[in-house]
Amino acid sequence: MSATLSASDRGSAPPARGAARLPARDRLIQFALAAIVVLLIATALVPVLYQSVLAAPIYDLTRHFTLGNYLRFAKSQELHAAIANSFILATVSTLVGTAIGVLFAVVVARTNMPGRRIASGAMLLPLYVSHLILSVGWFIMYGPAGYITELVRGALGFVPWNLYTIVGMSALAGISSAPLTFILCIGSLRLLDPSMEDAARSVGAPPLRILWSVTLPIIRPALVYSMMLNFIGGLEMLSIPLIFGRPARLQFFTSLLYSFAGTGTVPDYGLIGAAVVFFLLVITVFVIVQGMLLRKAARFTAIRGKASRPKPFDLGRWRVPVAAAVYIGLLFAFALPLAGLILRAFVEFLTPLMSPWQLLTWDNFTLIFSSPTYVRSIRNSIVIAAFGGAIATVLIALVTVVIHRSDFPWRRQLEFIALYPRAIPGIIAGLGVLWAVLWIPFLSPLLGTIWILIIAFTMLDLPVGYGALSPVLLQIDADLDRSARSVGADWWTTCRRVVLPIAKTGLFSAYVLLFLAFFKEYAAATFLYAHGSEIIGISMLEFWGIGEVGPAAALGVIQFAVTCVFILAAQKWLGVKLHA
Amino acid sequence: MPRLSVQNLSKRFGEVRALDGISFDVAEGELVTLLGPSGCGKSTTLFAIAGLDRPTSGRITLDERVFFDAERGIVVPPEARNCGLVFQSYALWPHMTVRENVTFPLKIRGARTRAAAVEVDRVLELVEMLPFADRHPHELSGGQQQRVALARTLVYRPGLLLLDEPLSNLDAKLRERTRGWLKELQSRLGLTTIFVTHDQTEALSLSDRIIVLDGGRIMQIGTPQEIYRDPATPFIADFIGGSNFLTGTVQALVDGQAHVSLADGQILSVAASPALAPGQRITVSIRPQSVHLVSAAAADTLASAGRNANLLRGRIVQREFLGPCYQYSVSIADRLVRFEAAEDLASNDATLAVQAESCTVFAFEVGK
Repeated sequence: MSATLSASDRGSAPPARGAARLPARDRLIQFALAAIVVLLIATALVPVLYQSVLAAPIYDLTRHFTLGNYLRFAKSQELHAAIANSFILATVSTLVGTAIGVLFAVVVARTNMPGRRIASGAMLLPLYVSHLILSVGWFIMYGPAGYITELVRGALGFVPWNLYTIVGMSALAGISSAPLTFILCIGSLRLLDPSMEDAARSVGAPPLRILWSVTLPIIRPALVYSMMLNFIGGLEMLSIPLIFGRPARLQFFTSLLYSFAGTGTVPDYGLIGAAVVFFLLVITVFVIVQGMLLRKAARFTAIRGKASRPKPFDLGRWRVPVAAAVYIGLLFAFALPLAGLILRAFVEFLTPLMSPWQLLTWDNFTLIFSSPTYVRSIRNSIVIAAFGGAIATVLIALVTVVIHRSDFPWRRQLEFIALYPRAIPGIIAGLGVLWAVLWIPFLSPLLGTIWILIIAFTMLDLPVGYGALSPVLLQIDADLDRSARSVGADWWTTCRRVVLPIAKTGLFSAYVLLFLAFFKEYAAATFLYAHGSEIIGISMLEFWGIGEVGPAAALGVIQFAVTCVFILAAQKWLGVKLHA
Repeated sequence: MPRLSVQNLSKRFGEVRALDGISFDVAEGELVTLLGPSGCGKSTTLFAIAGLDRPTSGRITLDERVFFDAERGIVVPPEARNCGLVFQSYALWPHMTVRENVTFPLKIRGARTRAAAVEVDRVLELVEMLPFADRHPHELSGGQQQRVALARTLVYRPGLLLLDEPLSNLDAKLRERTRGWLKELQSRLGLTTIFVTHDQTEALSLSDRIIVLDGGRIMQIGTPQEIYRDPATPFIADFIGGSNFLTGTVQALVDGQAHVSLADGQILSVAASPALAPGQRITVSIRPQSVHLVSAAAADTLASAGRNANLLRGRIVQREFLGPCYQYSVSIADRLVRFEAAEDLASNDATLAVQAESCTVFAFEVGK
């Protein structure tokens, strides 16, 4: 045991009173923080695991052990088909998203294309916006009766795309995941020592060859990591399966689970439990494989420090064509759909046949602001993001300090656990937490409050916060806390008075990221919301479900506006710079 | 009665032994230096005493108080040891002013605000930093930061002052001045101090005693004079003061001198020690200061006079102009002898006179 002090040793202790007073306090706090993290994740996972081996619903006292659920799952063709679709979507979208994201990152970070900063900013914005908003925007513009679809049909007589196919949906999912690849790769690309590329050029390699043989292998850690995150993102994606999959009668695992959420109950608890456990196991295998691939690679290179700005590659006469391609891509992928969403929110309906100015209306917004439920959903979203995000920031900051700046004996394991929620799809987390509440009676007061949402979101976004705070703490010279210890401060005092105050800017950044993550999360709420605890995403899906595209778009506009205002405010008053 | 006692301290990383059985005592008010090249274990030892590094085995006590005892499983956390550690990087907290940095240890100890302020002013006055009390660390020069770091440890009257290469981040001139200031302060306050450095000049000028470390082991403990005049190993002779090494075989013992024949047949006389016997292979360490150039004419005169002037002939391999003098590298019996001399010798050959009594003899080790 460390930190043990026998009574006789303490007898002659010099006057470091603050330190000697509570020798066990530090360890106690560390254990408490670790316990909170473990409990958060257990709340989502244990009920699912338990349910998967129960013959009755988890709340039913006649429940007993069985393996029958897994047998039935093995035979359930409906579930197999849904899971297969999810994997196809994840695979194709990962390939598409990685290709687009890496190309963008290379062009922005390594060439002299004009307007790189704006392109970079435009590529990052989708990271902070709910996928639901983008999906609705894409539907409005490119759906079967979309605005651009109709324009193209009018011009060509046919439409060369169909988003009601798994390929079309995968392409959209890929586009939506490209910004993540972009942000993870661009950091590594900017830190890359340009002399390596110069060396390749000097031995006569042409530019594309250099990209393929030198640049990409060097940024492999970021590439592998982003591919893993995109793959999981594809598996857990709910927006595109709901908005495009349902009308196309394509069922995905997440949309199948969602179909039970509205009813508040699941037809076959055991079967769903077994399917969810299978799904989680597959994702966990991917996470572990990815971890093994990158075992020693510096995990945080993507966000670390600033190296000397390398000499960009001269595109020569291709500068303008490349820039044009990049901007047209951004325009069609993100700008037009967002514009379409905004336009749609202010009109009765949107069609190329009539000028939108003739259809202008405030009705969509009036509908929302005249209903207490929808106003409440906006307020709840903001409260959860502002308040829950703050709680999560404090918790994750302390956990990160335990992992990086303590002698807590299980800090490696704690890190693994804190990062594990990457492998938990939001909707499954919601289902798990719901079952936990149904199972454990004293948790039931949480049901229908925004607290249960804060708990679920905090658990889901542990890796987001940890990823933001780790590099901050790793950058603080260890001597600063060691000196505090040596002058007589115990670990907890050192955390509060030295480490966290120095990390203040990093804490603000983490808070901004967590605010945005909480604000856009909706999948985890689908099983957990009740009357009184609705959030924006839930209300959007509700409107969508009954075909009310206008009010759904209006909610999307409100969410987008709040996000933009918050980002601007954070940059202005908190001095936070989001990655670029 | 020693105040600090370090007994058999070891630290292993798998097969590597960072510390290998370190034992030493430090007396009340003494300034002891841990000296050695980087990676020798000196900082590890210091941090083990401070409680920031956990050894694998051994025991550390201050007075009757056990800091660390691997066998009894006692590890007192750093904050309960009341040691004052000055870091090489100074480790001033950037978000606090000078005054806040120095007040922090007193606040931890529950001091009243007013009493603490008096104490902080006194210590800042002592390190001549009172005028800078309201600045932040980044507004201070390296030397000023170093004084604040020292003040931050002195303010709570630590039982032991631990200095981890505190002068290494200062420029040469300031280093010299700070060295004198530090020594004066330490002896005035009577602080029991352990000083870690890789700089032999610092060690020689500051220390009451020096502990030379290499490869995680103690090579020698002694006063600066003892270490310099009677180094225990060729490594110490070279590391402290610098040295040239010639190898040869003892040919005869005459009049308290040993005649050593070198590989090229020349004979070198050194002070004999009881351990020497004819036929023995030995290494002779010669301080550069003990080597002098002798002109060809003078050499001939001495030789014809039949006096044993301990002359060695060699070929000049390199000659560098240093300003006040030249540095010569002379090849003798396939070894290089470096020394400084004022003469600008034009020829390629040189005759050197070596003072026999200033040579140190070591048993020959293969590879040295």
